[in-house]
Amino acid sequence: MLKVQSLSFTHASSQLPALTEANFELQPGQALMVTGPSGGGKSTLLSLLAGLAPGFLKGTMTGQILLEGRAPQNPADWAASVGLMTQNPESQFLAGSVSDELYLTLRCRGRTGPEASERVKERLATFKLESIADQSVFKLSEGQKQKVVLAALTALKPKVLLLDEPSANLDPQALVSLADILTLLLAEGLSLVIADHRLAWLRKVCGQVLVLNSGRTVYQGSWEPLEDNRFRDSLGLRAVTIPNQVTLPPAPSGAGPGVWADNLTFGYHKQPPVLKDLSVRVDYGQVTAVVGPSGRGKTTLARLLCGLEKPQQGAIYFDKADPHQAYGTVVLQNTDHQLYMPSALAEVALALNPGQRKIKSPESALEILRSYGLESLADRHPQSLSGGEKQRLAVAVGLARPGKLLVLDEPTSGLDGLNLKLMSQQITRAAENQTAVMVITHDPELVSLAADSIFELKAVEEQSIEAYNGPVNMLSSSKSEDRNFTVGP
Amino acid sequence: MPGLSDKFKNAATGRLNLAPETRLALTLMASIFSLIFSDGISLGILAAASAVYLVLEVRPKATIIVYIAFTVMATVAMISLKLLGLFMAAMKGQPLYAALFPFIRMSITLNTILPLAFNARLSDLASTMGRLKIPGLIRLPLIITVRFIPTFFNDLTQLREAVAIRFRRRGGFFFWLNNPVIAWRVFFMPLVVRLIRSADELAIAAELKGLSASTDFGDGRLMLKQADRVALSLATIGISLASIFGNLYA
Repeated sequence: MLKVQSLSFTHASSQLPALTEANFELQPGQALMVTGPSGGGKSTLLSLLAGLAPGFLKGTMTGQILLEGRAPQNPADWAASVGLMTQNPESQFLAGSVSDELYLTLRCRGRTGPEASERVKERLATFKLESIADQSVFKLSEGQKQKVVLAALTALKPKVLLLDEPSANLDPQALVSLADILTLLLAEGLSLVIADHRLAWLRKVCGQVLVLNSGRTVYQGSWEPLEDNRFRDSLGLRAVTIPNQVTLPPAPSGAGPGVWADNLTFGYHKQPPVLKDLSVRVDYGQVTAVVGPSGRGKTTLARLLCGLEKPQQGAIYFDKADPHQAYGTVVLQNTDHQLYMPSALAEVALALNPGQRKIKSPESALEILRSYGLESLADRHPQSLSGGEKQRLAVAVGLARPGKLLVLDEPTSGLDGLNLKLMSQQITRAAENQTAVMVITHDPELVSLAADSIFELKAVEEQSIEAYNGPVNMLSSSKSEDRNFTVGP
Repeated sequence: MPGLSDKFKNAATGRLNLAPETRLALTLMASIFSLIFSDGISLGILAAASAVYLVLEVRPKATIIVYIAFTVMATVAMISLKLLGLFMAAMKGQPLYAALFPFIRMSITLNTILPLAFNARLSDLASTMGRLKIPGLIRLPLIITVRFIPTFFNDLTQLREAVAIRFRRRGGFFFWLNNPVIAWRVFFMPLVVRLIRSADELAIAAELKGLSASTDFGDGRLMLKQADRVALSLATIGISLASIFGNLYA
């Protein structure tokens, strides 16, 4: 079905190749997992397989990509056979609403109006998207956006499906369901290439593994070598097995609450409430993880805590003893809008000394960059960094600002094992410095490494409970209807 | 608009009950005649008529944001014209309002493209273009242009929020006044980067969907309702009046 021969690519803006001599072959029903450290060439490989070079991906490509024995000649050939989900799902939306996005996708591939309408209904049901069918694509949570793109792609039944970091914004339950859907598609003869840092959920989906480092293939074959901790650590890969249940030791005694919210109720623009009678508190010196399925209001909670939204009922209280505390420092998921300065160093320096035109105390800024593994990128323009690098820089900037309350929204989505550890160390260090840290996350590995307590955001009708500190089963909910997808035809 | 019957107004959305074909035709008519007319009176009448259409179709907040950006651009253009006049003999004596003409033309197109961007479903628009046999080469950039507008507004919202989070405790307006270079970077740099990226991303999204290649997209028949016929008739009358008054007072 898909054959890649000696595929190499060098970006027009770079001297070094992003991908060197990649070779593999996939038969119908086979799946390949591509992993490796950040910047290893995974996304470049997927873009090439989707036919984006040379039209959109400028550079020099050598080697061959064969689909069903022949090299596709034009964008139409690629679009007819290959479906790609990129790292940023929002960038793939063309229509304005969820149902229109699915409908437009199907119409573009020649489905008649009635056929497309029928298939849209079926996909909305399969991915449990009915309640947001008419919602604007801009108003969706990151996890919901990812589900909409997946629903659109699977509706087309492509011959080859390419998924770039599909786990980045999905909760563990959703990943289990996604793995079930992909397994069904494989059984129907689809070929699958998945580039991802989170490995555990892919074990039952992908039979083959390709590890890329600096564009070169460093391993290709079965899963067995990945069981070896030393092998994974040497390449900065994540764990291949994750326990279903995350149980934390008793939380250390905090130094009093940095922020606490009482009976918060909030809904967007005359919509039903996303949060109802919710009470939560984040203590100084502790990392509180907020977990729960996509669309439950985790990011909404962060927006309320940083003052971007006003609660309809209830109140949020800050520690008045800290002059910087009125609203916390929040690092949201989309980092593009949060970085402004001409270099990474200047970005951190501005956070340390707001209002200073010249970089003061570059040593302090450099030290912060060093702790996030960004020292070598100090002079680079922040907007030229990769997604993972921008994410680390945004968190570094967040921690450099004064104030003792830090809210991080999905700080490890799309980070490799090495950077996950770096990030968790920095989050833990912030808490040790008596910062109250709230981390919104779907990542069980981050919860295990950094969290002192867990707050599980439940469905609106169950939100009247107090913040929950105790064991949380990240992979299965107590209620079967909580599953994010249903496995359907 | 109170007073408009259900035939003309969608009760659920509060927008005019127009077919995508009509919205597309109004955009094309306005754009073409804004290029044909060269006198201030004709262009003024066309701009006023298209502004009425805009007010009926697009929420005031979006309209105000667009026109603030527009006014800034027009002001910069006029100041530049005045400055050029100081140094270049050829530019001396140019009336200030001359710099306004391109902006009036742009505003006419904008007034009719905004309703298309905010109110028409993209699948309807693509179907309409398919029905009209508009080739992919034209269809694709047209759809991306229309889709770019809500993306731009979304970027503005996200940028405003990011700035609010990061600079909230810095003394508000006076912080920006004291730090104009930082203010410039903070507001414009991410916006420029996002605009460039968004244009690229939308083009890729369209290509991945196969929009440029789909040839049999438009099915069904063109069905113009009473509201569409009234809107197209009013547009024709408006253009005729603009032409007549333009010739009378030229």
